[in-house]
Amino acid sequence: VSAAATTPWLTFWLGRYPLASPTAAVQRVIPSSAIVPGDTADAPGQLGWLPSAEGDIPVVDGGALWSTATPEPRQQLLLLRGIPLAVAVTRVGEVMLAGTEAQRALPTWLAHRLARQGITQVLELGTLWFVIHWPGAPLSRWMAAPRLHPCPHDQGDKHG
Amino acid sequence: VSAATEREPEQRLLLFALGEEHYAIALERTQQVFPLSTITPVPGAPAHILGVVNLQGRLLAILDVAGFLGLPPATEAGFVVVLRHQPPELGLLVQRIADIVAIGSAAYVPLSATQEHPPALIAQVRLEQGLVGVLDVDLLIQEVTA
Repeated sequence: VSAAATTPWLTFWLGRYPLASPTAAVQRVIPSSAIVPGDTADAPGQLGWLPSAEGDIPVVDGGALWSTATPEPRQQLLLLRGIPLAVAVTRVGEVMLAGTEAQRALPTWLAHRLARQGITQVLELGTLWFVIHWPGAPLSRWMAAPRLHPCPHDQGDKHG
Repeated sequence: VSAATEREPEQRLLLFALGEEHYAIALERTQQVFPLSTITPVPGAPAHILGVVNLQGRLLAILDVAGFLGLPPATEAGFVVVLRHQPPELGLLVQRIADIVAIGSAAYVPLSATQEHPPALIAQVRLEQGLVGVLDVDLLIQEVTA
């Protein structure tokens, strides 16, 4: 496989689940200590907010995208590129280059199910990694869910 | 008619243990058996799918068949029985392989009509291990992958 055919993948863990994201989809990796608690009552899985120059960015537990919860500690946040959202993960692994030779085929029935969960590929890079593309189906569903609360720092401005 | 031709046809079953209980599938529907070493959990997988293993470059989903049958869940140690299917779709995690037996129709015991049975359980046979449930592979695959 030529170098041009390879893609960098950022591997990370959600609890015991090994996942990977195209590195290009992630803007930064940030310690979870940067989370600012706030009004998240209307948003299942939202852990708080990430202050930024462009405004506060919601932080979602990565596990909540699959209607589950990532066990604590969630050490790091993936600040997504092009989507105003940070995803809390157990920990980030490595960045690894891989091409089509690393792709592994799932049983068809399982591939269909996982595709609905936003997972469309599995890579074998030492071990198996389930690739999630942002915004995949679960992330889109989460972002589309109604939530009326404003960012905590904007409450005074937006209420009333 | 010779005695050989009069003998009733026998079915060969692969017996496996799930805790204290034994179950069986038709041996002809078994592709291979291997000890489970590493299993990768799958996010968003259906209930009782423990994860996947790499089977010669293709991923095989592993069913906790004990949990599927309503028994105490597997401990993720044991053997994988790969069900014969093209391509392979499902492996059953069993505690151990108990035996391979050839049985005739006389060994079959009717399922109780008054009790509920786990999905894919189609018969019981009386063997030295006791009453052994026989699972239909096609029904099992259908139940899990539907």
